[in-house]
Formats: sequence, structure tokens, C-alpha cells
Amino acid sequence: MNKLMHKRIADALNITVRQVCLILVSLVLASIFLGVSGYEPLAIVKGIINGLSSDIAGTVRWAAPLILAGLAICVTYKAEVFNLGVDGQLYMGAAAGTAVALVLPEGLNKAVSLVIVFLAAMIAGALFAMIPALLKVYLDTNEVVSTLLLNFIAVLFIEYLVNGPMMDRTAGTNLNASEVLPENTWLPRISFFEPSSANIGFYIAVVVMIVIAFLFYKTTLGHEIKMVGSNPVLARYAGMKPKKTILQVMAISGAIAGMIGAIEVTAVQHRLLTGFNPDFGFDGIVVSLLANNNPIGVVFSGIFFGSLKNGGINMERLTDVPSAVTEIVMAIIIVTISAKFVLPRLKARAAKVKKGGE
Amino acid sequence: MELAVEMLNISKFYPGVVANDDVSLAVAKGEILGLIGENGAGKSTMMNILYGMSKPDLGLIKVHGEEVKIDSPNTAIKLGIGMVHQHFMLMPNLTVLQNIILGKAPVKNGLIDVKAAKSKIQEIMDTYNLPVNLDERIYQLSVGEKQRVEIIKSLYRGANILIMDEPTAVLTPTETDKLLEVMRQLKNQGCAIIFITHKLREVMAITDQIVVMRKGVVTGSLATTEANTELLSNYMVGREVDLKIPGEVYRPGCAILEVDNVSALNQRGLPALHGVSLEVREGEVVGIAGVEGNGQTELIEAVSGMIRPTGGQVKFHGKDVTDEPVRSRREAGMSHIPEDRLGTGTAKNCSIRDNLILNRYYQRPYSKHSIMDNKKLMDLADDLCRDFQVKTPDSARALSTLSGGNMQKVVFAREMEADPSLLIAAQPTRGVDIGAIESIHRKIIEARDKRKGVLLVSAELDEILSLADRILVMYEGEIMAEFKRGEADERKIAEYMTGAKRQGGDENE
Amino acid sequence: MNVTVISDMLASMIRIATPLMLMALGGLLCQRAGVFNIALEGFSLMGAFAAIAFVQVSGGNVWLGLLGAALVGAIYSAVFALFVTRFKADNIIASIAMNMLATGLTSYLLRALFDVQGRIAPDKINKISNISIPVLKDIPILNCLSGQSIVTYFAMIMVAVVYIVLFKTRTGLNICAVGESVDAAMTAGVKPAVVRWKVILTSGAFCGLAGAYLSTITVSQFSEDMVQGRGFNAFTAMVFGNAHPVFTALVTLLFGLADAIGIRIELSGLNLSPSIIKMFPFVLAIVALAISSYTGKLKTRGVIGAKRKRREVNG
Repeated sequence: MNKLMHKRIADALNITVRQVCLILVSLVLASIFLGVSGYEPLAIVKGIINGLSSDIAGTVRWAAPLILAGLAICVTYKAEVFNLGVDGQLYMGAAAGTAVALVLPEGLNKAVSLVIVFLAAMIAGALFAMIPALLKVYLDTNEVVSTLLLNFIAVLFIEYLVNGPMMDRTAGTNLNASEVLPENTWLPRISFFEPSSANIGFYIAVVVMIVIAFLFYKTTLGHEIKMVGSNPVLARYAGMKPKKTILQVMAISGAIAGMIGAIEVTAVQHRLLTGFNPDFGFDGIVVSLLANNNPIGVVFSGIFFGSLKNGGINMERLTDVPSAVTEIVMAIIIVTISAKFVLPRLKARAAKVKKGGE
Repeated sequence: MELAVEMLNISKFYPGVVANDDVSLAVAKGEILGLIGENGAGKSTMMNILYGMSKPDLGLIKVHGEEVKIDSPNTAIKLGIGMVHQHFMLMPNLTVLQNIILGKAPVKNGLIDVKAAKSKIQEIMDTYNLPVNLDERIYQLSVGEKQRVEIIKSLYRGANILIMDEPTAVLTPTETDKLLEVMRQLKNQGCAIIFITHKLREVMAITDQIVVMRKGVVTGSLATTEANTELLSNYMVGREVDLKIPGEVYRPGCAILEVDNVSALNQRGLPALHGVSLEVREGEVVGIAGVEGNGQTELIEAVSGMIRPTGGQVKFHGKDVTDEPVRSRREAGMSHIPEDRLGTGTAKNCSIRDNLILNRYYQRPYSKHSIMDNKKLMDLADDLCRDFQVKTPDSARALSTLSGGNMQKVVFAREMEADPSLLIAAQPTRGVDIGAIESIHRKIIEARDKRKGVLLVSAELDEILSLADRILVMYEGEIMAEFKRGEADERKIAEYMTGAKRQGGDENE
Repeated sequence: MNVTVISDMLASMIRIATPLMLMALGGLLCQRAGVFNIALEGFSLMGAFAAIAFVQVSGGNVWLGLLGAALVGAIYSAVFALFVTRFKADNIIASIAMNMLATGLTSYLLRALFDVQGRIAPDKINKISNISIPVLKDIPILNCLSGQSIVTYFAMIMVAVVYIVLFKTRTGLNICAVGESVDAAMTAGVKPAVVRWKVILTSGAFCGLAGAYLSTITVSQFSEDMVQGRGFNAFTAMVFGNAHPVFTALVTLLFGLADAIGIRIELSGLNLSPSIIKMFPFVLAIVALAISSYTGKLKTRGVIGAKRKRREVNG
């Protein structure tokens, strides 16, 4: 076990160094971009540093959903499934959680209420993820496109809900939002960080990470996910059931996505409304990619992106630099990670060449 | 005789490997040169250099007497060199015509001149007797027809020097004869042909001279008239190779596997297996002979549980397993060495250990309540590596760090470790060097002697004849004949392999 | 339901389908060359923004906007092409990056260049008038084809052009070859990278134009995220249309029809939530996707498989 641990740690360090370099490159490019457009070039860097020191509350607030989104992605990525539908599943989870929260008796114990709400959200997210999953498994439908389309449907569904059945009619004017959730369903914020909306969702995210890591490294399901992702024909030939595995990972992914919706609704917004999701799902892709699809790395990656996002928001508020630059940074990071740059290419050529000589 | 191609003192180095070491060969116009050798001998490297897909480190090439530098396939094509690849470079969903004219389509008014192309190709087809339907799509063609398309492709580009890389590997005996005829035609028309193969009998039948390579060097270069198969084997391997392995007396026991009138569809959804029945008993090797693509794959898929047959029953140890999933059959004692070991049988980017524990990871004592005991699994993997001589310092490394031969060993180790009562071996020695073939054959006989049952599927008739106690011949999804060991020879079996005859039925000759 | 109503709805269908058609053609060319390009959304968004930017800067010239958008779309797609061919980046991840980058860039540039947030309408815009086709405009029902914008007619012509190029020219054969088998193409002397650059840049131009249509013809402004998933619908249309230009175009018309019907329903005052109605095209797209997967029509890596009966596979 020791040898294996050593290797894992060495690999992790190797990759960490590489990812840090990529982050630096992206930040440099983004800073140049800012400078060229007439803004203060170091704004974004300052924002990140800020987020890791004085405004760590903001980072914690954003890190939770980002970590969970990253986990949702990395679970499916290992099985070579692309769940781009985290945003949609997130919304469905939020809707279900809100619906349940609104009908729970007011006097119910807080912990119990929250558990029920979260369960409802996770189930809704998982079920919504089952749609593209079943399509993929039984009809061979490409999940990239189906999940993307379902995202739009989910967003429209939420719009329909808050403008219709779930609209808040208690206030004088008709708001495009649900009623405010009863207090016994509010996920506690971290008092240390008040008045920020940083909440215990962060701890929940860390716990989920531990569960997922355990799943990957110690359970038979984790092994099956790895094999199905590597070679589904092999998996079938060895007696595994790739179809079942795909359904399982999508369900888990959808459940985690639903959890994000529950956290945002119960801890931050305290109600269901449209557009509360700043595309966490897509951010989750970057988070997971940066972490090399490793659950433990996802936590660190999520914290980094949390500070980036927080930095962007503060930056816009204080210095007029558009926060959209954070999306630009993320896009640059994705592209630089996915590009197989010179070094890895040389390595690949060397490996191919070693086999040569036929 | 004018020399068409001369490759002189070619050397090619890769880090840590000398692929070609001072290799020379020459072919004259209207001559066929046979280039033979094991996998890894360096033949493909030489031909890649000739076809411009790689560059020699030392040496030079002369075409029609003039020294040339071939830096790309385009240059090679311009010099009149054409390559008929072992793995067809064809595009399945496009038509034959489109495949042939790709990259060299005649143009009129900006659009492809289909008429001109068709007439030019027709000329080629007539001259060399290579008939194909130009409007059919490649996936509709037989293997022999596809090969013809490959040859036409080269001729269409004006090739008069043809490199043929293992062309007969996937052909039936009849198709092989047809191909050899075509080669004679080409020869008569003045083409020079370099014929790569490992089938010594063909080399003896069609070539004018032979060059044998081993480990990057030429070990023998002689006129065909001076050669014979023993001499050539010796040159290829450097020692006497005895492929005959003695086993115990044949005393079959009760039936382990019963296949009863099983039919199945292939990957395209078309019927590929038609009511096949067979039996494998304790202590016997049942060999399925036949050219690939005649239902053997589907038979194995139905027996192993990877697909559900459309009709019939599969019984294992007397129990009906037709609807049972793969895992329960494995647990009942079935092991399967897949024909595409490196494709289906392994997960390259996973560790060696991951590949070895595939059969056991979920079973006690290696895992309890779905939680794996990684230490025990690690020990299992290390033990297997040791017992089956898999050369690696650490089983946690990626499988891709192993050589091809060691990867094959991993597959064998995993399947044999399960101590199966039925071993399914599909093309077990394909892509394996002659040296390793011996040990695989030995293990198969060992299993049989230990009262296991072996279902052996192989396109290599020699292998079947050497190992099988009973031989079944498959053609187009049906069993055409059954022989006991010694009852039939190659010639006879070949007749059934082509569907020309059927045992106990009509004999269409 | 009288004839004018039908004709109006069909005309609406064509208008809605126009940007889809252009995007789908771009996606189709890429798919045929083996490039899985779902960055159509991002390419179009850049085009939409560029069009309005050019209109604003030129004091109202929409022609400049259209051309500029196509150019910008092509340049933007060059980044995608670079990463996908030279650096062998995964098509899907690179597509996601391009979409993300487009959203971020357009939002950023909106602030940086025009100092506004959310949307911008140019100070002056000289809308291009629709083209009225003489005889056609008087034929009932078919007169839906008359009175469309020039971009629409361009799109239709492009369907024919793509068809001819793809199936009757060397370039088209090279494209199909690269998508079928890169090895076969290379040994025949075709350069896959070059072919892929060409199709990606073309898709960039088409999508840029599609985006420009949205921002200068459908409406007269740019708003953040205005492509609203049309890029993915277009991709689905291409899948359902088997990457065949004519069938794909027909499918985009179908999607346009769904949208047009939805709008009619909304306007007719039926008590159906507008959000539900907006779901129509997406639901249709998913159904189309499911159907085409079931009949095994288009495998997503560019190989068009034969129709086949399914056989039961264990697991």
C-alpha cells in the first residue's frame, strides 16, 4: 500500500506543478488582455489574492458549489461520459427542494427538514440526469447534445414555475420568484464569515469529496467506473455491465448537481428564482479538468476558482473591470489544459518509437 | 534484367532498438520477391521506408537505376511504388470508385469527371482481371474484393512496383489462389512485387527470390528454387522449432459445454450463425477451423455470454446458461482469451494490476460488501506477474509500458488464474512470435491434460491440426464437417472451409 | 385556417430557420471531416456581437455588419481549429471552451468597447430590405418564399453549394475521406489538417453570418447570450439530417416550424405559459436526436452507418 501511495503522491505533485504553470500562463494572458483594453492589468490577480486572504468569505461561498460541480463532472468523466447537464440537473434539484421546503410543517426540526429537502433535490437531480442516461444506454444517443438541450428545457421549466404555480403571491406585486422558504429550511451560514453568504455547504462539499474519493479508490463500483471508461468492450467481456455503470454514474452526478441547487436555494437565495445559477455546471468542467479529474484535487481547484469568481465580482464592484473576464480566464485555462502541448507530444512520440522496429 | 528497386545498406535506428541493420534487397522488373520474418523482424520498417512513411538513417534507395529520396507516400507514388496494406486503408461508407480516385480524381469544369475515372479503372480491371463493382460501398464487399480494390488503387496511380503486406492473412484458400493468379498477371505485365508474408508455402509457390529477416538483419537471401520450408524456418527463427506437442492419450469425459442449434446476429444486425451445434468435453480440445468472418466470432460471443442468441441453447455443466450474463458464466468456470487481446482483452491506460484483477476484484476475499482490499489485490497481481513471467518492476505501472508480448501474457495470466473448466481460446497465437507460440500451445495442451475443456478457434490450420482432438469446420455460420485428429489433412479441410463441400450433404463441386 | 395564415406561418418558419440552416451547414461540414464541432453556439455569438459592433462603428451599415461578422466568425473559429488540429485537443472540451470564451468575451467587450451592460442597440441602423421575388409573391402559400432577407436566400443557395461541393468535387471527396478514415486519406496524399482547417473556418464564417442575422435582421440589437441554444439545435438538426445538406436543411425548417407554431399559440392567447412554448424546439430536438440514434443514422464520429436491426448485448 505504501508503494502505491508514494506513486500517487508523486503523480499528484507532478500534475499540480503542471496545472499551476497553466494557471499562471492563463492569468498572464488575461492580465495582458485587461491591460490592452485599458483596465488595470493586475486587477484579476489582486482579486484572487484578495479572495484568499481578506475576502476569504467570498471564496468559501463560491467554492462550495464549484467543488460540487467539479465532483459531478469528474464522476462521469472517469467513465468517459460527458455530463454537460449539471446546470439543468441543478435547477431541477433546486425546484424540487423548494417545493418540498414549502410544504414541510414549520415546526419541524431544522436538521430533519434540511435532510428531507436535500434528499428531494438529489433525487430530482438524479432523475433528470436519467433522461440523457437512458437515452445513451438504450438508444446510443450522444449525451453531450442531449444534456445540453435538457439544460435549456430545465431553465425554461424553472421560468414556468416561478411565473406560474410557484409564484410568490404574498407580496403586493407579482415577483418572478417563489415564496420565501420557511426559516427551518435555511441552510446555516458560517457565522464567522457573516455577512457573507458563505455557508456550511462548503463542509458538505468536502464531505461529498471524501465519499467520492472513497468510491473511486476503494469500492468495486469505482473500479468498474475506471474500467468502463477505459475500455467498455473489455468491461463487458470481463463480466461487468457498462450500461448499468453508466446509469449509476449519471445518477450520482445528477444527485450531486441537485445538491448544488439545494444549497443555493436554502443557504443563499432562500427562495427559488430564475437565473440564480451562473453556469456552475460549465464551471465545474473547468474545475474538474484543472484537477485532472481527481476528486481530492477538485477541492483545491474549486477553492481556486472560488477565489477567481469572487475576485471577479469584487473587481467589478470596486474597480469597474467587467467580471466577464473570469469567464475568459476559465476558457483560456480549459483550452490550455486540453491542448496536448509540446512536452507531452514528445513523450508520446518517444513511447511510440520504443515500440517501433517492425 | 533491369532492377526496378534496390534498397542498399538500409539502417534505421530508434532509441534503444535497431529496426534495420544494413539491410539490402533488390527486385527486378517482372519479378516477385518474398520478404519473410517474424513480427518485429524489421520487414514493415523496410517497407515503410520504401513507401516514404519513414526515412532511413543510413543507406540509399534506387528506383529504376536512379538514386532517389523518398520523403512521403506522394513521392513514392510518383516513382511508381504502390502499397497494398495489410490493414486496408479503405473508407467503409464510400463507394469503390470514391476510394480508388481519392487524391487523384480527374476533374472537368471543377467537378469530378466520373466517366473518365470509370473508364480508366475499367481498363485496369480488364488488364489484370480484377473485377469489382465500382458503385458498391466498401462495407458491402467481401475481404477478397476489398483487397482487389486496394490493388486497383495502386495501379490507378501508375504503380509498377507493388508492396504487398501480408495480403493472404485474411483470405480463404480459394481467394488466395485467385490473388496468386493476379500476382502472376502483374508479374507478366512487368510489375515488380515485394510480397511480405509468413506463410512459407505461398512464398515457395509464387516468388522468384526470398529474403529472410530476423531482428533487423538479413539472415538469408536466396533464389526460391534453392529454398525449402525447413531452411526458411531456420533462417526466420534461428533454431529448429517443433510445433508438435505431445499430449496424453485422448480420453474425453463428460460434456462441459453443449451448444444446441444456436443462431445469432453479427454486429451489423445480420444473421451470422445458423443453428450451430457442438460439444466440448472434459480433457479435449475442440478446434474450430475456418477463415475469419464465418461466424466464429458470434459463436464465441454466444458461448461466453456477450450476446444473446436469436435461437438455440447454450448449456454449461449441464445447466442452461443461454440467458445468463457473462459474469455468472465466468464464475461457473468459463475463461475466455479474446481474439483481439490488445483491443478487447486489455485496458491500456489502466495499470497492469487493474488488468490482472478483472476476474477477482469483486469476489471474497479480495473485496467485502463492495469494498476492495487493495493490499490483497496487489499481492494477487504481483503473484500472477511472477508466475507467468510478466516482465515489469511494478505491477502498478500502466499496461502500456509493457511490450506487446508481455501484454499478451497478462491476458493469459488473468484467464488461466481463474482455473477454468472451459477455456475459450480465440486466435490465441495471432500476432505472437514463433517462440512464444510454443509456450501458448503447451499451456493449451496442459489444460486439456488436466481434464479441462478447450474451445479453440483459429484461422491457422496448422495450429488446429496440431492441437485439436476434434476439428469442426465452419463456413458462413454453419458447421460443414467434423473430423477426429488424423482423419483429415489440410487439403481436405480446406475444401470444407470454402463451402465447396459439406459433410453428409450435397457436394457441389 | 385560411391561406394567408398558412403562408405567414411558413414565412415565419423560413425566417426562424435561416440562422439554424447556416449553423447546421457549418456543423455538417465539420462533421463530415470528423470534427465534432458544437462550438457553433459560440461562433454565432461572436458574429452577432461583431455585426452590431460594425454597424455602430460604421454609422448604420448593415452590409458591413454582415461581412464583418462572417470574418470575425472565421477568425474566431481559427482558434478552435488551431487547438483541435495542431494541439490535438479534445473536440468537445475545445468546443465548450470556445462557447465559454465567446460568452465572456462578448460580455466583456460590451463593457470595454461600448461601456454598457447587458445589451446594446446601435445608434443608427439601416436595415436591409427584404427581397420580393416577382412572380412568386403572388402564388398562394408558396409566396412564403418571397420577401425574405438576402441572408435567407444566401443560406438556401449555400445548401445547394455544399451539396455540390461535398458530393461532386475533389474537395468534398477529401472532406468525406478525412472523416471516414484519416489513415486512408493520408496514404492517398490528402492532408487531414488542411481539410479540417478549411471546414472549421467555413463553419466559423457561416455561424458568424447566422449570428449577424440574429442581431441585425431578426432584431436590431445585441444582447448577452442571444443565441439561446440555437447552436445546439442546429447541431441536432445536422445529426438528424444525417449530415446531408438537403435533409439537414429540411430538418432546420422543421425546427423553425415548431418555433413558429409556438409563437402563434402564444399570440393566440391560449392559456399556455410562454416558457413552456419556448421548450418546443428543444423537446423536438431531443426527440429527433433519440430517433436518429435509434435508427442508427449518424454515429457521432462522422461515420454514417447502415440501418441495422439491434441485437441484444449483455450488459
